[in-house]
Amino acid sequence: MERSLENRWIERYRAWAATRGAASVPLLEAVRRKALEAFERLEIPAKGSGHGDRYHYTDLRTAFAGEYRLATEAAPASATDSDSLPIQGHRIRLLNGGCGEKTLTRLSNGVIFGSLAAAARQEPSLVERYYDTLTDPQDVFSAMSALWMQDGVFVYVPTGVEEPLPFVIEDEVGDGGEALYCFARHLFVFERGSAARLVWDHRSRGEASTLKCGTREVSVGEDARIEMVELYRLSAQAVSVSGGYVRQARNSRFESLSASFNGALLRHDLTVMLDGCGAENRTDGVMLAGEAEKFDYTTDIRHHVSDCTSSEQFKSIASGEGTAVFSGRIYVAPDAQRTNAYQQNNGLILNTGAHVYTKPQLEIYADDVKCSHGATVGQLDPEAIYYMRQRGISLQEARRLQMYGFVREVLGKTRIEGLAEVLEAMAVDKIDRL
Amino acid sequence: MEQQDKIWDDLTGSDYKYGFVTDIDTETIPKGLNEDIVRLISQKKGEPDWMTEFRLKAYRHWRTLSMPRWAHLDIPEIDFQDIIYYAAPRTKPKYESLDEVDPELLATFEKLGVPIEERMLLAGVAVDAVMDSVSVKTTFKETLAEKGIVFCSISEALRDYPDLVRQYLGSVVPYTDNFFAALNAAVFSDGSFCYIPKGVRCPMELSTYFRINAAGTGQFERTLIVADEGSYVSYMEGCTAPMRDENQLHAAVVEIVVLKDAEVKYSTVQNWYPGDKDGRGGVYNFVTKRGMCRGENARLSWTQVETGSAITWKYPSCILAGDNSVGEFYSVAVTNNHQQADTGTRMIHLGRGTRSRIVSKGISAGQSQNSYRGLVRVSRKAEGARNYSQCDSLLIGDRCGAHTFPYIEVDNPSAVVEHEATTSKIGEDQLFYCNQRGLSTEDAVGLIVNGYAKEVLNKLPMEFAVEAQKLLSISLEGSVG
Repeated sequence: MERSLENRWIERYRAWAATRGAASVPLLEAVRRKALEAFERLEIPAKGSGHGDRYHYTDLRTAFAGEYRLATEAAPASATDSDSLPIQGHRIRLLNGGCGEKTLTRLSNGVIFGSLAAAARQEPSLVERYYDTLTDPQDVFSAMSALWMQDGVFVYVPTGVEEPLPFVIEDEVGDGGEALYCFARHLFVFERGSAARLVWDHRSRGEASTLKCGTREVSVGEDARIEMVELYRLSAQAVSVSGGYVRQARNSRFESLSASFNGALLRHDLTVMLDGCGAENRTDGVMLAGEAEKFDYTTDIRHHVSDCTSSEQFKSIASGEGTAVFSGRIYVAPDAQRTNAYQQNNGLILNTGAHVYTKPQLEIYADDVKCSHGATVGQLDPEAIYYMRQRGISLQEARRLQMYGFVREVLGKTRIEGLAEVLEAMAVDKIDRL
Repeated sequence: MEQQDKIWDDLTGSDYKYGFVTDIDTETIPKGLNEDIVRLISQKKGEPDWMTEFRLKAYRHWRTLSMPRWAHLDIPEIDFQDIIYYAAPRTKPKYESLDEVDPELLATFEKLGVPIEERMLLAGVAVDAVMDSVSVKTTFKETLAEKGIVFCSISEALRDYPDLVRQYLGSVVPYTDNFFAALNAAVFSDGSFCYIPKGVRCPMELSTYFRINAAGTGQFERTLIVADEGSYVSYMEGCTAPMRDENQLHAAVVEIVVLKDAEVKYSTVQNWYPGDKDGRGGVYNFVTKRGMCRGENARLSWTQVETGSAITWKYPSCILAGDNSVGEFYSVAVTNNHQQADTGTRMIHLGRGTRSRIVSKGISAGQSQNSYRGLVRVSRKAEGARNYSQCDSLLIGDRCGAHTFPYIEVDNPSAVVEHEATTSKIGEDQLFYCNQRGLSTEDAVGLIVNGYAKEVLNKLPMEFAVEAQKLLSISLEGSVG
């Protein structure tokens, strides 16, 4: 493969590195050096069957080919509150991958949250123990995000602490009219027996073209119970490439729900490593792709040890020229006996021109397992529509009701107070535009 | 439990029943592949110029390609220059009656359980026996000829029906299709050609036996079946190879053209030599099979029982171009010891109201890897297309792998596509239930495996179903009894 694109990015990096002072944190710099080495041999994947077939339907090479400005030290983030989620919680504000003042908040129960750069400075031993430990060395996007990261989110919940309030991450991208790239790395550490909930709100500021590339690492300790909900409501020019690595220890429970409402191209990569016996994972998602939107959710649920449970449910609707891709893999390692894994993807395709692609995969090397997946692609049920119309419901309303019912099953799974209603309202709003 | 372990052990201990080498003089050409070899093959077969040109074009294209690596297979490097690309039994090329056939050759078929005479008498099957590369014996040709059915080797067809061959050869699997299809187009030695004229229902099952015999020779078969409007044919293909230490390459191409209202059933029982217990030897089976339903209401059904080969790379596919055409794929794939299989199908829905159905049953034992890989694509224009896929995997033993890689691509809003897959082992409770009723664990496993594969075995023609069941037992011998 010709490397002109990669070389352009390396040049861009060198130019940027020359202008940077020595102000940065040694820990982050060490990872940055490693990332540069990795990036020099990795490639930004083209669409196709390479890279273990992870990019079969989505071309990310084009996304990284634009001549955008690289978001550097951002102006202090003063997030616009008008769009804020009506959810009680600890707020963490990001603008273009930066945390503004780079501060950490410490609660009396030992919880620490805020800027990853600040944490690397103030809690170096803690950050060092976890930062860049879960990422795949072959993952070009985690290397790129480590290379250019200025900051990111850091959340630490110590042993045995159950944090009652959710963390609300308000992650904005865009800055006036300028097209930009921004990169970030995020770190979440949940110690043994802890419990926490997070809401991650991805928003755009303005309508300019943006590309946000971020990688997060989530370490879930023994018996910890974590729930994470993400919603994407980016502008029609915004591209997001996000990678997630979750490692679960013994008897831990990690639940995630992702709702893709708006954005030009949303690519999610989630790798879950079930490394402790008895760990439970639930990964759910909703994708509502209209116009020319392309949403691609790729998961890799890795059962490394025995007696773990995982379940996945993804529902997608595509209309206009929209594309919804679900590509999920369940991997069961040799000797990961008594694994119970389930995967389901249902797609609705509303008109000619829309696309639904699904690739649910099982890769199993142990025999005492219960693994299954189901995938369907279809359309609204004409009989149900007819039934509703007979009862005086307009065609439009009947269609809306059916789509709403279709996605509600997934959106209603969150237990964060008030959030399900918010998500459902957003879903209805989007459905009306499908 | 201990008894069960013993059964799993036994299961990897089953030896290949068809391992023997026939001592017939074979005429071969030098090892390796270049334009001269391609010309030589073409010349030896006395082919017309356009055919030589076709081969050369394919060869030149092949040189630009590299081995596909996307399958879930661990394929050792293959030295394509270390293969003999042509081997013909050095006996008289044609026989009038069975007496003229080399008795040793007949004995080989005997050992294989291909009773030509018996089939002629009892089953009423016309057998076009292909040994190494040249078709040696074609039977029942006259009966078929009365109906206007052409069933002969592809080299005869090139001589007698050049226009038909030229019209359809490469129309479903062009030489540009993939690495192995290009290689096959360049060097194919022989194969079968079948043409069913308009409105004719072929009165008997057509059958071909493939067999790799000479050491170090690759087998590059090319099969072309054309079912003209409103016709029907059921075609059976069975494969065995004698035991060999080094790996042998088999890269066949099967093309099927189904015209309006016609129906083709293609059944395969494949038990090439799978290698020994330690994964030494065995056939590499890299096959491109594809059919095109060209006309309205055309039907194509693939049924395969795959028990052999060290490595299987095979995706019998249907291109559903005609409106309301139907594609079916039924598969049982068994892997044992160190076998690897990556097999499945592609259903490409192009026409309106097209339907397809996929039933795949994988059984992995020993240290084998068994993957289903399938694509269902519904194009923009395929109004009302319908697909149902079911892929089940059964694991026997804890050292093997079972994988499922379905691809579903829907671009039409009226399509309904469903896919289901499960992976499990034989339930302790099922075994216990059988044991309680006086069945030994071996019999119970046999019963369960047979029941599991029944849905597919039922689709095979009668003569084959019996053999397939026997093969299942041999492949899983020890556990099945």
